[in-house]
Amino acid sequence: MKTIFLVDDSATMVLSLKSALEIAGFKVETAADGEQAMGKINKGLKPDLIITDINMPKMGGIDLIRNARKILRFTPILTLTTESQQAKRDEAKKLGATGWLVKPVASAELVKVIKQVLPGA
Amino acid sequence: MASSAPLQGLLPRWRQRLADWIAPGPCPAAGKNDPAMAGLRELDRQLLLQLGRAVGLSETAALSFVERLAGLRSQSSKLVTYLGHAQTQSDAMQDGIELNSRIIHELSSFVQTLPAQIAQERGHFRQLVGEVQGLSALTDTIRGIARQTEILAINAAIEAARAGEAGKGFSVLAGEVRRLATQSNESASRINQDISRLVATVEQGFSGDFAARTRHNEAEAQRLDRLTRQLDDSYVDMRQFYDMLMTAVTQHNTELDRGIGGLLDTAQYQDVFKQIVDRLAPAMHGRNDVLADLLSRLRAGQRDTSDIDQRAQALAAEYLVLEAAHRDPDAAADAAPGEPGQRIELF
Amino acid sequence: MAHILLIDDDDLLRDTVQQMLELDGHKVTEAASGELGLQQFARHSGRATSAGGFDLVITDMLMPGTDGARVIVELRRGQPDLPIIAISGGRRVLSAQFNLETATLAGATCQLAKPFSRHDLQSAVHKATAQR
Repeated sequence: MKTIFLVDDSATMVLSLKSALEIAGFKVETAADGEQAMGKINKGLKPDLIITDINMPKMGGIDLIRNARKILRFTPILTLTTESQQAKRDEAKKLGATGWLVKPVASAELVKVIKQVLPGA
Repeated sequence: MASSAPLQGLLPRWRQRLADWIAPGPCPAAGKNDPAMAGLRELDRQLLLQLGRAVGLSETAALSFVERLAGLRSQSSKLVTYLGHAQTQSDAMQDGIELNSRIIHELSSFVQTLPAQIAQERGHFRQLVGEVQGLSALTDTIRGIARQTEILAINAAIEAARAGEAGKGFSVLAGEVRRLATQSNESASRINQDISRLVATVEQGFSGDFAARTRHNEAEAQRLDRLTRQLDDSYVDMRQFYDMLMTAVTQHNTELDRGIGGLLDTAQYQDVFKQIVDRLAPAMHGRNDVLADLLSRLRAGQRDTSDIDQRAQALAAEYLVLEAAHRDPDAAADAAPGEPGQRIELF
Repeated sequence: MAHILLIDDDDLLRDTVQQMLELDGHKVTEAASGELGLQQFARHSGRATSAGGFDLVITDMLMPGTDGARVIVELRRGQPDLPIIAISGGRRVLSAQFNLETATLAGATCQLAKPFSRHDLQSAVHKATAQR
């Protein structure tokens, strides 16, 4: 069973997505911001996929991508955000993000994208 | 008079001047055209606009949520009703099942009696055949005796003829014996006839009894065959019932599950709403900073506030730029795939 | 007018209904069982009416093998907006009401209880196709 690491400061976001992803057959780990997320990664968490928001307190999504990529170089990272700024998007792409999704995204759509991105899912 | 035109406006103006002198009305708003104020007002307008939009979004989301939930509820209650009817159907079948077990019982009881019946018939038959054969043997014996007696009589007659006068009494006796022999024969014939008649009667009676029992068994077998078919039919029905029940309930559940998924998705709107409101705060802080700076300059007696004025005017524009960085959640897949600005983009 | 798929294992009823529908100007493809019906559907699915696709499916509920409920679920999966009319009588313990309610839950658009008149059939066809 593949593990998805969900990083978002919105509790409702995390709750609704976690439910949909678990039903789709994934194991889900969560963190409320970039700092918490890096804490888990540094302690050894090796998810098969990361989904992160951009605007979060303490450490935002862009910084998370930058830091996570140092440790998890090939793990696919998707951003799920209300941000539509081209600059942010380009920066994420440059730092190694795999995809850019704008909220709100139907969970069925999200699962489809995840299956596209995860090898052998 | 030529000056009546200007005079027309004079009276109300004097009336107003008098009223003002009696009770001064509100002063015309200070700084109505003040650039700083204009800037701040424009920002307020933008902030309220966004707030209104956020509230609208929240209402839309809540409405969508409640509508979907109501839909799910009605779907769910449809299932409850259907299952209630299915229960009635199932109860009717329950009676059928009970009847079926009675039929099975009858069938097995009937089948169990048959071997005993058959053995009994066979026994009777064998017995009768034995008795008849016994009687036949008896008449054969009698016939045998009669023949022997006749032979003796003939021999005696011959001897009597040979003996002449002395044998007269003897030949009478011989005659008597002969008569007895004939009588025996006749008796034997009669007995044979009786036996035949007996056998015929017995056969008739026997087969009558046997036939009746056979007829009864055949009728029973037919009846039970009908019931067996009924049994089979009712199991076919039951299987079909459960098949259809499963299909309908599974389908319903699948749709319900999809609906619930859609419902959970509406939770994402809450996040968008929250972020809009979160962005209001820094804008308002900026506004307050400008106001504070303005006040401190004025208190310090400095009249030149042009830099602060500029900042105030720029506030609204800056806020707009910030807001534009976030996609309108209700804008569907705006750009075509591959173009920047689409909702889902894989790099 | 419409291309209709008619699925029923009762030969006499199927012929009668086919005649009624053709008299009203519809084109009818018939199938004598659930399996055959689904095969016909697969053959024509995804096409517009002009290319042979179906505008409406009428199916019996109580059939040996693949029953009506299963047929309806499969049809819906293939074409979610397809109008479907379920027809059924009762048989021994299975009441017509139960059969038609099952049809509704499985996704039928309209129900028709046997025996039905030509007028009943026409109304159902009209109602089902108007709902698209």
